[in-house]
Amino acid sequence: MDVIWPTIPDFLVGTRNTLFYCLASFPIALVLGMFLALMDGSRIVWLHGPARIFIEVVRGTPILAQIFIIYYGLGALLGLINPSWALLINVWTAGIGTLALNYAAYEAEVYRAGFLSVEQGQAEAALSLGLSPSQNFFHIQLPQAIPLMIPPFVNDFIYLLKDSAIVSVIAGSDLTSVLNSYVRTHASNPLPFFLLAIVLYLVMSLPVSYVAKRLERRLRAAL
Amino acid sequence: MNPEQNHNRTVENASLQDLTPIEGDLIIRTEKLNKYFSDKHVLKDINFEVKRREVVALIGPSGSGKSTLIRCLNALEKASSGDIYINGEHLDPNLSVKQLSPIRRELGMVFQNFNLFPHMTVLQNVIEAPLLVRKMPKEQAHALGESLLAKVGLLEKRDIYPGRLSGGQKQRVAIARALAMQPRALLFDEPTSALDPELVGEVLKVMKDLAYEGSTMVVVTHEMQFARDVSDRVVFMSDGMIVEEGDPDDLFRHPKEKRTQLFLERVLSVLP
Repeated sequence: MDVIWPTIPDFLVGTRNTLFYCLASFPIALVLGMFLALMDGSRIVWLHGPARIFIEVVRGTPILAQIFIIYYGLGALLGLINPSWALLINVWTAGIGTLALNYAAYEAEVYRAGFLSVEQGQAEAALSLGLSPSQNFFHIQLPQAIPLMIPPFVNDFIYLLKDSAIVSVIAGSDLTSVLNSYVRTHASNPLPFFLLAIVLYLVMSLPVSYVAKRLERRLRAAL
Repeated sequence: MNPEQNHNRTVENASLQDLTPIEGDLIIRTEKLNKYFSDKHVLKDINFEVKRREVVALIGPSGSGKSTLIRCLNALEKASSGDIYINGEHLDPNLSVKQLSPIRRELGMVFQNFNLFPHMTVLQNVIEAPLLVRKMPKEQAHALGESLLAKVGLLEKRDIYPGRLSGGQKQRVAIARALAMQPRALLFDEPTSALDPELVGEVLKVMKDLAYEGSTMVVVTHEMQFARDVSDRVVFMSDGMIVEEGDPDDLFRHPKEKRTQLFLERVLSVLP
């Protein structure tokens, strides 16, 4: 235990940074995902096509490759256009950007599934009463789709808490980055540090799953 | 079938209110209406009219096009060719949803599966469209909603969610919701077909009351007794065509067409 105590502040900073990556990237993913879902659902090919390609490419390639491409590739590319733009890509922007783009693709599918599970008859009832398309969307479709989407959203956020460890490959100073550095310096007995990191990940995810469970129960009771 | 049991609403209620359909005042008119689902021809040159205060029962075997016809009337299905006039206004199939809205409001639709909004209370279901579409003030909408719920006998359920209602109660709320937009005519798409048999009566009673108040109604139904007792005119459809139409007593007792006879023999054999 003696080796652990002095490292705890560093681990707490790592925990805070992990939370920061997640809390910054998930809202972006939710907004981006909604646009992707709307584009994907459009009948216009040049909206539908790019959205579909983006979703399939992101879901079909390793997040490890994506973060390298964004951190090194995109940084270099921007540098070619304007040397000062290369500075835009640092571990924070690359980390948040990769996580946001990646999760946007997944959340788009959640939106799509949510809207698909609202019965067709609901739109017919709304239209036959004379509601406009936007009234139908905001007053009829959205309120019914959101309760169906919240559990998968929260679930994905828990995945994101763990997936954010990927930023450690570009030394993103998150919890896993801190863990890596101590594992390297205490190679003979790394186990306590692993356990500490596990506990800290659990401290982040357990409250979220608890809230998710309660929310799900309440939403189900309302329908 | 005892003729004494057949009350024609026009005769029975003549003293209360004039319920005679008004000649020349057409709420609904179709001209050579055709509808294809891919290459399936489901409506064939339908010429169909509904006068103000008229109650029309649409009967016929399933797949005959009855439901498609009334779904075309408020543009839930796009007609393939032909013309539809609602209260004299041409229902152009190329209108946008926004442009369709004022025409759709003229017709209230009651669905087989109710299609109540599950995330709203019973009262909210009824007043949502008056609030959003008619921009009715809140107090006025509440008063309207409550009076309509009282009319269908469900005022005490105003604050509960549709999920906790029986099928018959759901359909009565759906009728109140359609009435809230004060439509010129009500379209019923097999309103009792999804109900348990013991719940059919309460819905038919509400519909009968509406008919006796002089509402204009088009009812797609398999309830032959209702068609016979309540409607002014029965329209028999088969294979996408109007095969025969006329006064309910005449049509039920002396069907002229072979297809009508066969259909009625089949469905009436189960009636008392």
